Amino acid sequence: MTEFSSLERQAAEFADELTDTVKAVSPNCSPFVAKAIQDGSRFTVSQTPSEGIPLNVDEKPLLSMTAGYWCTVDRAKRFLAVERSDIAVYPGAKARGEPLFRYEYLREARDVPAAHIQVHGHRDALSHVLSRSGTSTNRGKRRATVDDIPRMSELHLPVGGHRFRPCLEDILEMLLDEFGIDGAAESRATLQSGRKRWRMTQTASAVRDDPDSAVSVLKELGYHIELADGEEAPPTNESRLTAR
Amino acid sequence: MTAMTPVYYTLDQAHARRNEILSIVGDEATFKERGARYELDAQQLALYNELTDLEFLIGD
Repeated sequence: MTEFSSLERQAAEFADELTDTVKAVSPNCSPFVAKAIQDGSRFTVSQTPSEGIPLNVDEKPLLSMTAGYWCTVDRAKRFLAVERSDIAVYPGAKARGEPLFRYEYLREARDVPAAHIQVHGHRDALSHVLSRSGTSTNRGKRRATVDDIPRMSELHLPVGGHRFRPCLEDILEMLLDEFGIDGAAESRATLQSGRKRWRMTQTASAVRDDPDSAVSVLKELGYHIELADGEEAPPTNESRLTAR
Repeated sequence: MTAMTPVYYTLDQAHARRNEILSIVGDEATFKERGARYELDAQQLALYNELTDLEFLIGD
């Protein structure tokens, strides 16, 4: 299979997976479609038409979400790699103006973390939508029964779950960069070293959660792996893989 | 479910659509500045996103 046709298949499957995901929450939204230039190695995967994904409360749109992915080929020239992604949440029925917040990923990030959240929402815009939360979930129900003005601090934004959460070094380096904190230049090596230690520890934990994936990748990389005699293949840790 | 086939543009088609969008939105620099500052209405934002996609694919 040529490199391009393999990328084409991966891009098409990625678009389908995104469509399945969003339609589980918003059944009538437009699908995601992969697009490319003929014979090119770049793909975009985004909703088409690009009208946003409506998120309803009591069948009325409260929020609108857009999601876009800009992809190319990875360094091994085998897999589709995301160069950039942007997932933004807007107040109201249509994506327009300033979002409340967005998740962005930049493969070639320089002065910012590769994966980050940017909170745009003015307090009033956020309070407005929070005050209209539905009651189909515990947190929504709790908010609906309280008289206080909802606050931005009530929102819990996901940042990678048990295994891929930011470490202390991530937060410190963000503060150095954003606020020009003293000692930035001198401390970076220590922060990078600590980050590496954290990620290696978490990688080991992630392997224990999903040994099948680890074995598969290691075999692709040329390792010969066998289970010891009498041992059973360890199961995947479903709860860790599916937990928020 | 069978994956949907990607949509393919020729380079000429991509450039033509880019030019069409730019003819709708007016001054390119102003439009992109407004997009970067999140000052676009729903229709403009859809065009901005499509323009961004096309420019990524073309490699501009």
